[in-house]
Amino acid sequence: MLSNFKKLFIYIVMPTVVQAQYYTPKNFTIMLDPAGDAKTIGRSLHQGFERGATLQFAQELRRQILNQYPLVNVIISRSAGETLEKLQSASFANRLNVDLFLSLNFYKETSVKPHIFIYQYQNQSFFSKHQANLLDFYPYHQAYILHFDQTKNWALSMQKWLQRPDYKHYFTCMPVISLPFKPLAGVIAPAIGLEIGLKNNGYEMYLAPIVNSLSELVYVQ
Amino acid sequence: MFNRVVYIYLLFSSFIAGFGLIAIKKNWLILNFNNQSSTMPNTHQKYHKKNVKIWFWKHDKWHFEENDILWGQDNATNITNLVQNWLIVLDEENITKNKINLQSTVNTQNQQTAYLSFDHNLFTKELSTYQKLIIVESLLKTLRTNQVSTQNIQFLVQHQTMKDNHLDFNNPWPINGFLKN
Repeated sequence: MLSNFKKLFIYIVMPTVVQAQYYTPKNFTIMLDPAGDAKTIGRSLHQGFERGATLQFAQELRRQILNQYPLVNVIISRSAGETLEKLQSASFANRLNVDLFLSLNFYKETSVKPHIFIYQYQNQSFFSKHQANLLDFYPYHQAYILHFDQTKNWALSMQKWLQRPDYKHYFTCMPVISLPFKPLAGVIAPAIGLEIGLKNNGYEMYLAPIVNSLSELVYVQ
Repeated sequence: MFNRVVYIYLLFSSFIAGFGLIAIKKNWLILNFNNQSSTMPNTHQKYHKKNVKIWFWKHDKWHFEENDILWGQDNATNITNLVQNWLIVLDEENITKNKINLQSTVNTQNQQTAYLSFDHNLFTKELSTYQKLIIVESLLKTLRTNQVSTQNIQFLVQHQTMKDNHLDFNNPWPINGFLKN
């Protein structure tokens, strides 16, 4: 027969410790890569251009992520007025060894209901499951292979969140597409591209859904 | 007397031979040893009329238009005809803003990759990545449906790699495309 102390330990303390071990946010680094730079204004939107809107969105997204997930680090790949070289963001992300690379892109939405697209990089067809080896040499356009499955799972997790009935009234989240999406080329870490259709009412309504969609990624599975 | 006649013959034949060589070199005289009469009918026999489906995406679903084009044994010519028809359909449906032409098509020797060089970029700057992807996928679907024997397509503009801020054309695209359905 178990003593009261043992019962307390087995039924109350241990589950709490296990739960805490599994659900404490780990030290997780996200790089936000807003589209455009000092030379590239990007697409025209209802108000302004893609370059400015994505940077403001990234800054606000960073603030909200830090509020909601205190142990998460968020880095923005560029500042206002900075010119980026080809693959500079990817190189930056690889050197910092980030856990997640998020590319943020906007376009002017012409449909009645705006869309969110989630992209993953892929530039060739796989006929069998690719076994990536960290010691192998990969050219930059095949860097995505190293975390292909993990990226796919994370992108699907974000899709699942963004397709929740609460958000259906505001926007439609399309299924994840794997394609040669240039802003994600060369990134070793799981890299996900978000392309958001903006209407007159701005980007505010996307902030909370995107922050919430990261919950399964930043918490230890 | 005999030697004199021989010298005259030699001189004359040397003149004729020299003139002949100069004529060939200067392209005054063109020698063609192929029998034209036997190849011409074969060339005509190689081509036949084929009904092809040209795919495009409009109002959130796939549509196709059926056209008759000349279809032969040369893969590059078939692709050229097919892509030109596809470009015309896109122009008629106002999917592309400007009139775009296919400059040339080259197939690799093993018929694995076809290089398509357009005179202008297929996309306008304001399109979303998805809209651009759908345009490329409609071309790949058209090529697939009409059973063109190639595995990859390399997109070029003015014989240089097609440049786009969102889609990466540095590598050839598989003919099966990237859309799942």
